Amino acid sequence: MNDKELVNRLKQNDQEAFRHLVENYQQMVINTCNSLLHNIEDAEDVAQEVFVEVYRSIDNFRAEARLSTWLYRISVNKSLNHIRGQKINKWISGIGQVFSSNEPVVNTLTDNPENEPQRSMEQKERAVILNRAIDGLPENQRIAFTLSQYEDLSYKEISAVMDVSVSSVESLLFRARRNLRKKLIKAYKNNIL
Amino acid sequence: MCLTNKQKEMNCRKCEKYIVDYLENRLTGNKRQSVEEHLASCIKCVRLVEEVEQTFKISGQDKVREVNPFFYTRVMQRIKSSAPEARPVSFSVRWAINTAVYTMIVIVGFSLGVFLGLPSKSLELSRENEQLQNISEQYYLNEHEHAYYAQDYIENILVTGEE
Repeated sequence: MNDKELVNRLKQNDQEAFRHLVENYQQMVINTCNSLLHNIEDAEDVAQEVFVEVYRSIDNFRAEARLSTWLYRISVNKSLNHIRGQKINKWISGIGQVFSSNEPVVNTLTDNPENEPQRSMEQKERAVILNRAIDGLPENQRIAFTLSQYEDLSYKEISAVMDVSVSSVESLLFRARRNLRKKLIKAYKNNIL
Repeated sequence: MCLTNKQKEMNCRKCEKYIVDYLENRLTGNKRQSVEEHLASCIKCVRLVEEVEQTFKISGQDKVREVNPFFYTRVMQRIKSSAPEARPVSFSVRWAINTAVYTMIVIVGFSLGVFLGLPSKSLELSRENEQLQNISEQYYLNEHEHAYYAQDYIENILVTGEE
């Protein structure tokens, strides 16, 4: 079943088509959410929201766009909303605690070393530092970098998801990589130098 | 040539400044050479460069490989259990609501200002009460004074026998 046929069947409220959509795209959606949230439970939760939205608003889907592009866009938006919600919750529950702590904020499954025993301790620590550095990037750079590195999307595909020009994506990725390295230097220099 | 600690610190700082450009192959000529010379002699900066690059390289490797087998079931449960989200309010409706709210706030504020600015009836009544109280107090004092003079007069007659 190609995307066009799938969308037509979804618009006719075909449950079997919806199952097909979820099964085909669930990994992609969960991965996208996880790359922004760094937490598999949150990522699955947000991915469920993504498919609920797809189910409810399939009539709004424009035929000229690719289904995967639309799914990426919803996944990114839902993940960013989730992050904003988390930030507000953190602020409400006492932001001072976060600032006063020098320890890495280990609040995610992927950040938690015990969840992946097969990975070396060093790699896990690197992943925590990397995730924190990625989270510190400006939103547009973070989206472009995540879609490029974690989803292996081309510049053109990223530009379609983000609704910007290809040259803007190139610029965002250039700045994202540069800023990420600067943040990593900052993170490591206190321990090494 | 042996570098002093201060000179070495400065070199490390400069090297740190150029590391990003060095890693992106954007350094040329003397700058690239001086960074390479520093890296050849400074183990700390070499470690820094290695750590940064190794950490940078793992980006994108952390992918979800297995999906929860009940994922579809959970999505369907969510669809069935949750009511459809309210339709987003259009800009014109939002503008109308905002205008109505702000107008109400202005009217209430104006009314409150007028209400507080004018002397109220209760204020007038309290002033009237105050006046009445003053009069009654005055009357009581006068009466008390009369009684005192009367008593004095009677005592005087009793003592002297003269009016």
